[in-house]
Amino acid sequence: MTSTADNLRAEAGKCINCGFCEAVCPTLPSSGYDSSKGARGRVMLGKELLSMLSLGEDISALSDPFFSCLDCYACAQVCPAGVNAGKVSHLAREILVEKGRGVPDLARLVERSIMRYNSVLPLGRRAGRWAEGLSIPDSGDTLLYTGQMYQLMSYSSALNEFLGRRGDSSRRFIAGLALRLPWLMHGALLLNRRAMAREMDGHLRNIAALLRSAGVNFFYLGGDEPYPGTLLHDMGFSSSMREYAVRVAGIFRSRGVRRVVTVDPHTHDMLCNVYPSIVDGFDIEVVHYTELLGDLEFGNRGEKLAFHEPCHLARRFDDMSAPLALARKAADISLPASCGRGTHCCGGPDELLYPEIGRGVTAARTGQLDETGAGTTLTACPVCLVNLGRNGRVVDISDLLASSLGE
Amino acid sequence: MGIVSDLESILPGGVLSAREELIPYSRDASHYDGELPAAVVLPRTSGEVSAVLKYCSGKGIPVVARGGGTSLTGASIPVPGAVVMSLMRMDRVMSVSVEDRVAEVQAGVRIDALNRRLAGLGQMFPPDPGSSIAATVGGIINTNAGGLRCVRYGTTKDWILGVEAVLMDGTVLQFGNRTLKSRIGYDLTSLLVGSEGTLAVVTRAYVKIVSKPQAVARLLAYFSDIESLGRAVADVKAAGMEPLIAEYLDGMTMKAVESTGTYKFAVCAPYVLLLDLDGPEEALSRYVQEASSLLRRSGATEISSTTDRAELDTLYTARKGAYSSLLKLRRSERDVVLIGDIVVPPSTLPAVLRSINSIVESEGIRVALFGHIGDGNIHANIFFDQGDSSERARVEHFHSSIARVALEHGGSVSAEHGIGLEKMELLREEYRYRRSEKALELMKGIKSVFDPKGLLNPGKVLH
Repeated sequence: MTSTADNLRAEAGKCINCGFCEAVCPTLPSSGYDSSKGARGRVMLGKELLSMLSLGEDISALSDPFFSCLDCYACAQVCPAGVNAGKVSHLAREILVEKGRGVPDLARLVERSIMRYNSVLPLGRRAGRWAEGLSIPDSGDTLLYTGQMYQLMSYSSALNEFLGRRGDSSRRFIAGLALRLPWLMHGALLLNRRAMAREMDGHLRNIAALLRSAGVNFFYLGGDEPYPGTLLHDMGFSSSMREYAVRVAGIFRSRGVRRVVTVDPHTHDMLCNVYPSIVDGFDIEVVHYTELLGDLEFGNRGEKLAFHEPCHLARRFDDMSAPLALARKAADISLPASCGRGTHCCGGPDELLYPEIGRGVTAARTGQLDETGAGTTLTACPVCLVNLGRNGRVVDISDLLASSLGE
Repeated sequence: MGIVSDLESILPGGVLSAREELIPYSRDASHYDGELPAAVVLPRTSGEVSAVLKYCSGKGIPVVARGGGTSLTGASIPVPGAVVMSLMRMDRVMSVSVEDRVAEVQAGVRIDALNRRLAGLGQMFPPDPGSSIAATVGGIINTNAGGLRCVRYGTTKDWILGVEAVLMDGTVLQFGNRTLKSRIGYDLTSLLVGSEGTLAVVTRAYVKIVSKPQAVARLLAYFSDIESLGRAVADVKAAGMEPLIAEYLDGMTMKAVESTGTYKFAVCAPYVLLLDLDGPEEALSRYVQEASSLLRRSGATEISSTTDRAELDTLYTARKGAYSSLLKLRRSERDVVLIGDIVVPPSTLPAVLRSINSIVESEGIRVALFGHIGDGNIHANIFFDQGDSSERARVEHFHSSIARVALEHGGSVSAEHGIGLEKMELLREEYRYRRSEKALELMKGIKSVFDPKGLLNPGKVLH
């Protein structure tokens, strides 16, 4: 079995420093062109990390370059040598976590919360409130799995803003305090944007209605539904991720799940591309809800919308054309210059740990979407929805489809 | 105060000094390992460039200007104790005038970004190096870069009307103008083009732009021997055709391109010639027929053509990444690729390519050949193990041998990648061959006028 260091050596070793990846890396311009926060710099620092490890040196100082990577994989689309600088960052984060060096307190806090509460925040029954009154069964073989992503947005958005208003050192102090005083995580629930929570619940209700219209029978776990562990994976907590994924898969199996219908790109990516490699015998069929709506008829009122394709759908799958195809049935869709596999991150993944960089990325993407002249953006990801929504009107695809259904 | 704190007071928020921040600036796209710089500065204005240079001049600190870091010859490798000046924050296209056929651009604008902006106006900036996705306006001015479209449009020097540049003592000057004609004494704009950051720091440029081609068709002509391919290119030129690009790849390069999964050649052959023809849509099929007949007569074994936009773009991108793709064929991480950059008159291509082939065979060197053959530019990509001194010596001998072939056929040792660290010896050889060593002394004189203390990118171009 190859070690994480071997995998890092193999990936970074292919790099020949051409710099093509830097030209598309969203965090490079957003960091003020600090190359240690750009794709090529990260690959060079991946090699440096291996060298420092072999010399027994402290690798803590390499934390920021790797934790600030968005995992958007824009770099991998243009590398002529086949290097994925995003993967380099991921492997480097796993090593930092494994060695316990340079891991941000906020990341450790997230890990602990997920392992303790099966979610980033202790949402408990709150996560299932959107389904109240919908009479969704609680058993069956097709699971509608929200992964709590839409539900978390109103809390994470408020928390990110709260932390983002504070300086780096204050953020670290708060995270350190919360690590020592776990009950503070419950206090974080007080930071909730209620209007946003209602909107997010509305998106989920739309999705349920669309699936029913398409004749899909499904059930929902309600308050028992676990978060998929995305941030554990993204932040490099590989050991916890394996343990957690087995836990989630166990819940699915114990409830007789044969097929999972996902509603967001991150959960879909995790279940399709990560779980099979870390959970023995994970053979549950995974489909994105938009893939089940192809036979529905939608009215098209000619509304002009710019479609922002989420990285985790556009780049992690060879053909995830369903959201765009559906959107084109229901509206007059234009695409920004950076589209398809060349899409541009919304900045969301950096919101918690590197808010300044994240917001720069969001502003850059907003500018690209504005250039289409559409005026309103459409997307199919709660993270993109909230981040891009700070700079203008953004519509979730579930809203568009639900409002156009059968017109 | 130390250098870093001094620089931070000059450029608040624009200085990097931690070890992990400096490491990415120790290398460019060449095979050279550089030293860590003392600091990296990221100015936003020519005034900030001026202030930093003035400070460094006073302290005797070397300064290495850097754009996209895509040099293949080590031109942006820092020397010990140097301050690296990254121009990347100067990334604005200030203005575009289609009427005047000119764009005013800051040095840190990437070439593809500039062309995306121009495409919306039906215009383009023709210099098109393989690294255009990452290379910057300032970088290609300092390299006098070429690229795929040189056969039609020439190199960067043909497209620069004027520049703003900052001297080492901090003086900000404008050379040339935004007009298409400008005879104002010695042509110092042209002098700065290709000076590799040794004379001044270019901060802004007036570049010429041109309308995009109306429609494009691409022919892929496959050949079983290199001499026939060389003859085909000479025949195309002799027939008065003016292709938009004329590129060739050998079998090893084709295999490398295919290994990235981006493109699959329809025919398995030792060589392929890519020929782009442009013109009005309705005339393209006639152009393709005429070119196909000519290529067949010149010895092409198979010919295909396409006008499909997606296929044109895919292959163009794959060709631009050919050098990087070749690196996938390294035997180990220790392998590096020295990339030759000779240029010869196109009429001599059959003889030159025959000579290069026989040297490759006799010396047993692992080499992949491709290049902008339409203008006689051949890139020999030579693989070698950095840790193997005997292999290195054989490779350097091979590199010199093909340079000699170029000189003997009226060509040059360096076409478009510049001199940097890699080709300083070959530069001397070329002037020695022409019995013009005095030219090098004149260059040193010019360098000392611009930069009397020798602080701008020291150790590059000239010994």
